[in-house]
Amino acid sequence: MMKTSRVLSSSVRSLKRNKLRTFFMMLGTLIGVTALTVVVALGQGTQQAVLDHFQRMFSGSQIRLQAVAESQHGVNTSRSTTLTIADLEAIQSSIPAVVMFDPMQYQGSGDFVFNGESRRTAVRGHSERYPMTANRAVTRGAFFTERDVRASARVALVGETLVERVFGDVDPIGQTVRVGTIPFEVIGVLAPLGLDPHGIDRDNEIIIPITTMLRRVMNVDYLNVGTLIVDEGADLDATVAAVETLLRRRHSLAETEPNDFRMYTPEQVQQMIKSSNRVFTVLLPLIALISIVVGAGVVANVMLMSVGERKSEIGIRKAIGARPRDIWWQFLLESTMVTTFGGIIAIGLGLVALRVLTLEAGTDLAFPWGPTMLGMAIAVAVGIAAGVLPARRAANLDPVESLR
Amino acid sequence: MSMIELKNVRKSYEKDANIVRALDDVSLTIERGEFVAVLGPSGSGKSTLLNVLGLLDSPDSGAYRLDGRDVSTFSADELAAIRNQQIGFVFQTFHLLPKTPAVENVELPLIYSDRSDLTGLANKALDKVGLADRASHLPSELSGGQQQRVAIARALVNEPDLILADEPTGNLDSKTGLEIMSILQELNADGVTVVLITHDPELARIAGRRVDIVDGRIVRDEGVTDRRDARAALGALVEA
Repeated sequence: MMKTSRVLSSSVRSLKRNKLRTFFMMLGTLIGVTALTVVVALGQGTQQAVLDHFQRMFSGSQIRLQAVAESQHGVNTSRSTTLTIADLEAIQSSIPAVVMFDPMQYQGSGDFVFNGESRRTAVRGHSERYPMTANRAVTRGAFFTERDVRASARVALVGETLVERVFGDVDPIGQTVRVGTIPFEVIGVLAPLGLDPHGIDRDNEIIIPITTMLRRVMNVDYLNVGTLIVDEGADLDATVAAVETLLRRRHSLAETEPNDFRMYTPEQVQQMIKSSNRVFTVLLPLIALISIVVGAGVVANVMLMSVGERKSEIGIRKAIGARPRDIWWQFLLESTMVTTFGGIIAIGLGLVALRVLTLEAGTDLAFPWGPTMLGMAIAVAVGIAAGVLPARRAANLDPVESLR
Repeated sequence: MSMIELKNVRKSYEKDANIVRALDDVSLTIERGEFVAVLGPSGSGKSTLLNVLGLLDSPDSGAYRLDGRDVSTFSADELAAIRNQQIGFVFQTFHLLPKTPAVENVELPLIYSDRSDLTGLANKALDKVGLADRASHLPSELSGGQQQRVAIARALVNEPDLILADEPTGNLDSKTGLEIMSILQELNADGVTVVLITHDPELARIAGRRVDIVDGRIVRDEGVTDRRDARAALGALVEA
């Protein structure tokens, strides 16, 4: 043990004295481990962020009904114009498990005008049940009522971004704004949601009664999305099936025709998020891993070269009493120490890179313990793997040969 | 009991598809405290003899007893321990670790021993060869003679019974060579057995006994009658 620790300190000194060699060996692991740490941490972090977002907006027992026509292969989709409020009412009245619904129609970009100040904003039409189905509160004022919806009232709730950018110091409640050419009275401010997973600012929007949206703003009678709240105790899958059967009948779809709508449960959405995240969770880590393997090859090669260059050193060490295993340890320790140290630097670099990337995106990432430990373990493993062969070669060198 | 006892030792190796008989039926006995010069032209097998004596190489046949023990029965680790504790090597090309201070070069054998106070012992050994003030110098900052003295300090830091020196002055001028020889003579006077390999008959007179080897065979083995005192010769050289 004492001998090994002496060999260790001898190795450390040797590494310090041969900085260039040490540097190149370190470079072999540095890049790969940095990349791996960053990619895995980002993958986990963004996936968590997206899941959190959906958890907040879309959780528990509900079905999201989207007016999207599936193609024959279910790959290409196009908007359909067949989903109506009447459909949702029929679903609620004939399927007991569905306890509530909220219709939605949406305009991605509308002109929002206040006091001559204009801004592009998203316009969403909802029922008065939106705060319940979306679990979103109103911070000031109040949400519109069933009466407002029935009357197609020209009332609106605004998001925080609009409050900040358009109203400034003015209290938005009671102000008159225009959406396109239609005047609305602002009756409330929506609780902030931040960026959604697509990077869209969910606070740069206004919400108006669905009826007003359909009749006055868009002049259509179909919906974009319907949210169905299902009784907690009910079988979600069975409800999905029942809704599908009912809607197909109501839309008079022939046996061979595909659905002109799509349904998602929270579980399906989570699955989709996870699978769409494969780039981060599988592909990029794989690429990083390949670069680590290449790096390990570099380290092994530098070590082999080093064994060749240091034949005389190995010979003299053996001549003065180093056992083969002492030599073996020396080279294995050198290689492992270099990659471990490289790993530490790589993780430092990775954390800095993550910090910069997440600051840019405005999200906060928890300290990536998992990826950090993984990176460290891989760095150590690379050192051992890359050191074993050169160490064995060094240990087996014939001292007579190497001292010639 | 003799310190070294070689009996009918043979060693051959292949070189450019030729079998070279480096040691051809060599029998040699060396007593504790002797200073033996092994003299021979290059390729005569004297280096192979030294490697066999130093347990770096093993004979093809024949017996080698060191302190009465048959070395062929030792494991690689035991051989390493004997090299570490009992034998000190001095080479023609010094074989110091580059970029490594003198004192750390001298410490090297101690790393593989059980002894403590590495630096203290290394400094003492450096003091013995007159290089106490060069302890932190790198080999590249030392003259050839100084480098060889560091190598000698390394050879004796573990207080071995046997010093094996392979042409230790081959790369040095005659004055520096005599300095090295005088150190070896002093060590021998202190009781250390020294085996010196050389091709120079004049240097062989430093030793107490001269063994000539030609084509792997010992052709002459006798005491040196007109032994030279390296220190005196050095004094004469400096005066001249």
